[in-house]
Amino acid sequence: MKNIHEVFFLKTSYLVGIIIVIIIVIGGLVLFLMPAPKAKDTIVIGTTDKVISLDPAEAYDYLSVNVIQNVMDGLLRYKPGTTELEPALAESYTVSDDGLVYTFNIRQGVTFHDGSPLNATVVKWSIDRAIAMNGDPAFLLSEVVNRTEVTGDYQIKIYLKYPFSAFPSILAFTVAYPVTPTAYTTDEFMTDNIVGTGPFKLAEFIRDQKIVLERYDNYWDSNYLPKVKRVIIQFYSTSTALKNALDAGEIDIAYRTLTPEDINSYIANNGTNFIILEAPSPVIRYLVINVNRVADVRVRQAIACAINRTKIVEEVFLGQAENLYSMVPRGMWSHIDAFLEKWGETNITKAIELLQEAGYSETNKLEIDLWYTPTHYGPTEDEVAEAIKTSLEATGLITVNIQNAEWAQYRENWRNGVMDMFLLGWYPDYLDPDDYLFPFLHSSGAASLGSFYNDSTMDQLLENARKTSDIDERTDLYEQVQEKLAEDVPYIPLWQAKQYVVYKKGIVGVILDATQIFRYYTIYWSESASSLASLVTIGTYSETKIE
Amino acid sequence: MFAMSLSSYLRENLIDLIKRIRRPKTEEEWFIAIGGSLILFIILMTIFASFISPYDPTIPSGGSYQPPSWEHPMGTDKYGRDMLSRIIWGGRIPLAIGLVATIFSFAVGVPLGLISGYIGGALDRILSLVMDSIYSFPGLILAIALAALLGPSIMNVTLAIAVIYVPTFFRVVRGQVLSIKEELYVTAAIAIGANKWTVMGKYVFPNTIPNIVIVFSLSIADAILTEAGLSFLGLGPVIPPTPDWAYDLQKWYGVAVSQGYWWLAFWPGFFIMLAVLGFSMFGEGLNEKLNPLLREK
Amino acid sequence: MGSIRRYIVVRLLTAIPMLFILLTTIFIVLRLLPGDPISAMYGGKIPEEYAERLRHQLGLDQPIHIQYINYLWQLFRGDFGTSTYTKRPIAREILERFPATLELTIYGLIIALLIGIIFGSISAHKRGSKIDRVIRTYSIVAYSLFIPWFGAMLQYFFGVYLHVLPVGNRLDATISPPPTVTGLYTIDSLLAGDFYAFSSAIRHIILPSFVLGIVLSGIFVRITRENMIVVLKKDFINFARARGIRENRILWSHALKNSMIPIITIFGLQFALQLAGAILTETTFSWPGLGTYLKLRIEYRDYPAVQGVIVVYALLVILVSLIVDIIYAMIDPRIRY
Repeated sequence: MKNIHEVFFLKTSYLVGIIIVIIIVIGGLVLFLMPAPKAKDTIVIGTTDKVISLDPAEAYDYLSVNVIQNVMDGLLRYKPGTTELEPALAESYTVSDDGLVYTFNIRQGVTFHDGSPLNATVVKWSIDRAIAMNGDPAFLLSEVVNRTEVTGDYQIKIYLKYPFSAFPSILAFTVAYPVTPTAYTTDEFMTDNIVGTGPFKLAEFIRDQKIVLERYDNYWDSNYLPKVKRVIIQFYSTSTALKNALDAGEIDIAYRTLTPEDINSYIANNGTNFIILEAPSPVIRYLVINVNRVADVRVRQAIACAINRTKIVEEVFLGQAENLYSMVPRGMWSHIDAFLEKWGETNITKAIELLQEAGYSETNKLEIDLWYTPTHYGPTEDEVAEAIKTSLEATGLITVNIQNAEWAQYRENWRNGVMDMFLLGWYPDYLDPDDYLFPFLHSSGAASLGSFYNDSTMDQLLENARKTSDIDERTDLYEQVQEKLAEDVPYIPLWQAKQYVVYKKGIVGVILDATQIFRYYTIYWSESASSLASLVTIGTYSETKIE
Repeated sequence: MFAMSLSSYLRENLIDLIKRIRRPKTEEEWFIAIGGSLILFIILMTIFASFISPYDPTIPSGGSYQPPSWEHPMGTDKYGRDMLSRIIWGGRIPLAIGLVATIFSFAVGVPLGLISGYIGGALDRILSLVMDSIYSFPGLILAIALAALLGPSIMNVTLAIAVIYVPTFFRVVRGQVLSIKEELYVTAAIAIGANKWTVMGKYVFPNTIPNIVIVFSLSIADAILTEAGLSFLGLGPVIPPTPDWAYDLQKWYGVAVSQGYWWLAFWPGFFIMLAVLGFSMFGEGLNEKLNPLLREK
Repeated sequence: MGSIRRYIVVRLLTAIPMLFILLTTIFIVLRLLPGDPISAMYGGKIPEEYAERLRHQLGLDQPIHIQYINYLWQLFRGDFGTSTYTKRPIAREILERFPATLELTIYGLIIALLIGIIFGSISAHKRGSKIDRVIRTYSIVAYSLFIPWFGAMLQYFFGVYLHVLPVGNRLDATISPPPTVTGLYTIDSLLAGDFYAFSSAIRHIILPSFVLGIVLSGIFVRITRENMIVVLKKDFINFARARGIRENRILWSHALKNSMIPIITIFGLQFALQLAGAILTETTFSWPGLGTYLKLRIEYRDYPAVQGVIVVYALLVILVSLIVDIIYAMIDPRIRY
């Protein structure tokens, strides 16, 4: 007669046995049914960015904009690999003498993915819609555009509120992309679907998981007809998961964003299984100084002297960025290394001199708060703050207090003028020095960007640069602006990031663009075995020409 | 159980306990011994950090990302800072927060539990309802909301965690009070003419102490885990380069996994586990000892 | 002794004030959050008037008591508001991500319960032996594990070192999710006969559910052990034995049933813990569920979304404890009003 314990163990052994059998069966199924290798007509791209909204009137984050740029066209576009504008949906355009009226001739015979036609009425409707619906990027249009007028089936006139020579670059941004009234309304944004005229159309969009695009065979521009049939963009929430997916073969290309350590290991093994490309990115990083709180310009100049950019670039980013000496990024026309010319690389002696002039000494040190935001710009911000603290305190006359705030609070803080100095970044909406200078240095913008800088000479320079279309005149004006920037120091440019893309050997046509527009339609699998085995730098800036 | 004065009660039971632990016989005593030793180890390591730490944890002292070696038994991080030193110093914040938060919870929960249990009535019902609501809610989520609300600073994170454990203390004390209330010696005290507060303070409270200690220990364990969780989710209070186990884990675990720098993530997490283990074992062992599952009658 | 119906009614009535308190607390806590939700996304480029307009659209400029009433009223109607980050209805966003969390939690629970009940029972039956000591130690250690740490260790070992398991997401990139029936990829793929999707889903869920399961099993082992010991010693077992009922039957109908009940109850009470554990698991494994959603939205100060998730959690907790209490009452006739 068994006792209860023995009975229990008997039963339990049965149960465990059954479980083990189930595990073996499922395990067998699973191992046996690993996904078949992908056909060569599909490319899978992995990224840590997310898509928020696919409506061009609303989209304002990197990946949403990038996807739209592959599925839709604008009146103008950037030539791949350059920062030059070229005609797209607009075949040509003219500008009136006073710079207030732009006339565009729309390309004929273009259809949207749903078959509806592109014409001047549609273009006008789209621009009006973007302005009226007032999404995040709408201000780019509404601040400049007065009204639109259809002057022919395929001709449209846009009237500006004031002459703005960078206006064509704004049209190259997604907010101005034509949408079709057959699919879009003015009542609400279409966040999860997209109909355009571009080389790809949307096949599937699963939020926070993936987007699937398919080639649009009737694309109007046969030069850029996609070479593969399908592109899948898979989202990952950490760089580690992204790298692992790439190494495991789950994805073919990884673009934005891998950690500096991972990038270095890909560089070290470049050409073995993966290829890595490097190019400058248009993103600038800088310190904002609240000129009301740090009122003595000599103090600001001293900080500019003491800052050690090389330390940040080498130690924090392992060399994957470049020192930046102006708010206008290197490679953009009119750029001058303003801070380098004025203050030199790192000049502790001069910094000490300036601080002493301002009345500081070993016993009376300058106390200043340095803020950063821990996640918005990636996980390395605290290291940047540490590096700055070390370099400033090397003067012996400064004590730096590091503080942080989550992005939303951070933004509140700077608008309320609470932070002495803080780290910030800028990604351009349109590629023109104006976008890198006007919002920061003109009195209308400087308050909303945290420096509260207000100088009438600077205002005048910037406004004049907007009025003229003459490149040489504008270059001269912008150089003056940068020199004054280095003199008054409401901002200290720190570094310009580099961008990287890693992909499997056998893939061809990946172009890293200075505009950071990642074009899927140039990519394909090559028949031949391998290709480039060295770091290739592509996409240097060139002048933005105006026709 | 007879009425005793607080000090004699403590004296008798504590000495008895310590004697037993020095030579653990039963399982529970083993748990208490091991748990207690772990706690002691970690606390001592933290207190004497400046003496035993080989390097300054905030200053580079070696190459970047060095694997464990004789000079750096736990390797170095990205900036060449010695991990062993960072581990030794890294316990300060989690322990401090865990301890202080639990003390806060204790200071609020126990008196409330005492009063609520003893006085009863509508007050008791309302308080119980409120406490039950908080108690049933996932602690980490509450802490997340509060920490996000108050902003990341050591004081605020401590407060956020403290709120979570108030109901635990409340419930345990109240439960105890409810059962003790009926004991003969309490009725006797009241009959003699002792007022409410004397009864609560002198007779009821001391008998709840053992269970409070247990809850205290277990709460510290949980508080350390919660603080680590908050740090991991980016709501932690640490400003670099201050060493902190959870902060280091959160900062380096990505690189640790993708580049194989395992020592950066393994040690901080391991020590978090040790601390939590210590307090948990201690509390569990004590619990088994003082509230054995079956009293052999 | 009242009827079960009366118990249910009374229990429901108790649940309502609890719910109310929780919702109000959530509202208060979140409304006091510093950080303008509108500002969260933008790089300082939005002119103030547009921000103002957005704020007005979301009703954030109304006096606080009006906001409170609107909040309660909307929740009542099932409207969780619109996200300030994506401008989409939050109820929809939560529903999109809920199945992921559900799937993870279910598998984690299965593992936890299996380990918990089996080991806990073994420990109880072999009380006092070495096995018992080992299992009890296991239980405390398991509970003390810090999920992200444990997860990262496994990710490294299985994902990077051995390269056999993926470290994130729910499916391979090239596999389309199966048509939605339950929202659980593992089930839906079987239902659709898509075995490639099934394989992919299983491979992706192994590590996270294992991590969650092990950590939860710590508690379940302990609870099972405690309850089983108590039950085994109970008088009615001896009486049944004395009456000559076979041990087999005693094990099933008396011992197991009576210890299962407290286990179910504790499972319900620990549900809150499971939700919390799921958050850390999700963020470690890039699992696209409610936990990751919560974390991201907090960063963006997306009040309405954060509030929505917390409300959902609160509802779940209350719902589960309600169900558990009722089940308990149905089985145990002593629990009545």
